[in-house]
Amino acid sequence: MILKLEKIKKVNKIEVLIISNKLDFSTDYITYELKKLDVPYLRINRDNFMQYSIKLLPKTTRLYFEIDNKKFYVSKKFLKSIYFRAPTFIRILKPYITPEEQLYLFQWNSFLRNLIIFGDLLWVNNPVQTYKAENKLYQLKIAKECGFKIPKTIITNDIKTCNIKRNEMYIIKTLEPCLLNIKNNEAFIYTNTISGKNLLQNDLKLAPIIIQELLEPKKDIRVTIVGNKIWAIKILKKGKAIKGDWRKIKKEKLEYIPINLPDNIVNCCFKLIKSLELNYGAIDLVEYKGDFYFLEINPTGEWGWLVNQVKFNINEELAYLLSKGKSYYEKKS
Amino acid sequence: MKSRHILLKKAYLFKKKEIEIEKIYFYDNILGFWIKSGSNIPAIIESNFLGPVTKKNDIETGEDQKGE
Repeated sequence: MILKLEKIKKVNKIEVLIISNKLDFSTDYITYELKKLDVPYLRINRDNFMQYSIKLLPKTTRLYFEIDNKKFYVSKKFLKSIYFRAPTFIRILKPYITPEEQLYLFQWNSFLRNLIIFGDLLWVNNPVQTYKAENKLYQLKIAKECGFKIPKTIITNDIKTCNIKRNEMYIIKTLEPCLLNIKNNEAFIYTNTISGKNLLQNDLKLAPIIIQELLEPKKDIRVTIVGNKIWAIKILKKGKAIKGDWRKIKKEKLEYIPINLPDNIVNCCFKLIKSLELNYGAIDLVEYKGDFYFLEINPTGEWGWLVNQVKFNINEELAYLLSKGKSYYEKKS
Repeated sequence: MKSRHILLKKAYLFKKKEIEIEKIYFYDNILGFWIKSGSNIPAIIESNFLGPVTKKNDIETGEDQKGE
């Protein structure tokens, strides 16, 4: 269906505030759905701040916003939800950034974090909860408490203390998504498989790593939760399970097959989301020897590719959740 | 000589993709989505649009590297 794209009229009563960036096309799915639902929304892009006129009043919790001579007014009186599609940890890849770029980054990121003054409405997700939930070790602890099996895990900077077996294989990974600038190239550190023999030859004093037992052969599973809805896929390469980190494989070779998870695993997923006080989460599991193991949850994880490639209606549910705010749970649970 | 940290040895270098979306689409600040130039069709429902086929175009989370 192609809509007649008349501009939003109810500018004084913004009900959904969206924090994103201009090239985040997944957010386009949400704004388009909100438009279809005739819900007044405002998208603020983190890379566009210099085009905006913004005034935030903490005493009355009001945000005045202007762009292209259009005025928007965000008040707690009307606002139902905030879609906070922004990271809570600042990562800078450039070897040098100008004082102006530094100031922009720090001041505007702080401004965004301060939107927590809008308080007790529906957040996808609240940055305070995202900040906690993005920590992998904390996730593992909570996931275990929620009933998940988790891989044996050590975090160390001293390999000699870890009883590593020379003849066994291990997983090594970073404590958080690790993007680096190496000789003016961007670099990413994936999850890697390594022999105990090789691992023992390394000095880790510079930085700790996560070492996990290797669960292979395994099937990779991506679970996506929005409010009360859950979707799951298994990720294969040419019909077969993938060795190592599936992100290293070219996307044309990957297959995403929708699956139904066992009820107990579905329950664990919802329990985890609730424990972490999230309304959205992308959970990575593996199926190993008939059991499901929790690997990690990403509270800002991507979902647009699942709409595009698997035809999951995650976009519709997210827009619906945002449009209803906290009443979503009253009506659907 | 001390060898490099294992995580640095495993770092995968990649080329940053250049996005030239503005040649075909324009971003509407009020509607909050991209539209095909010369039409009223949102980019995400336009047949030739190579939208989020993989992960978020947001290097800050690392999610965009999945499936590369």
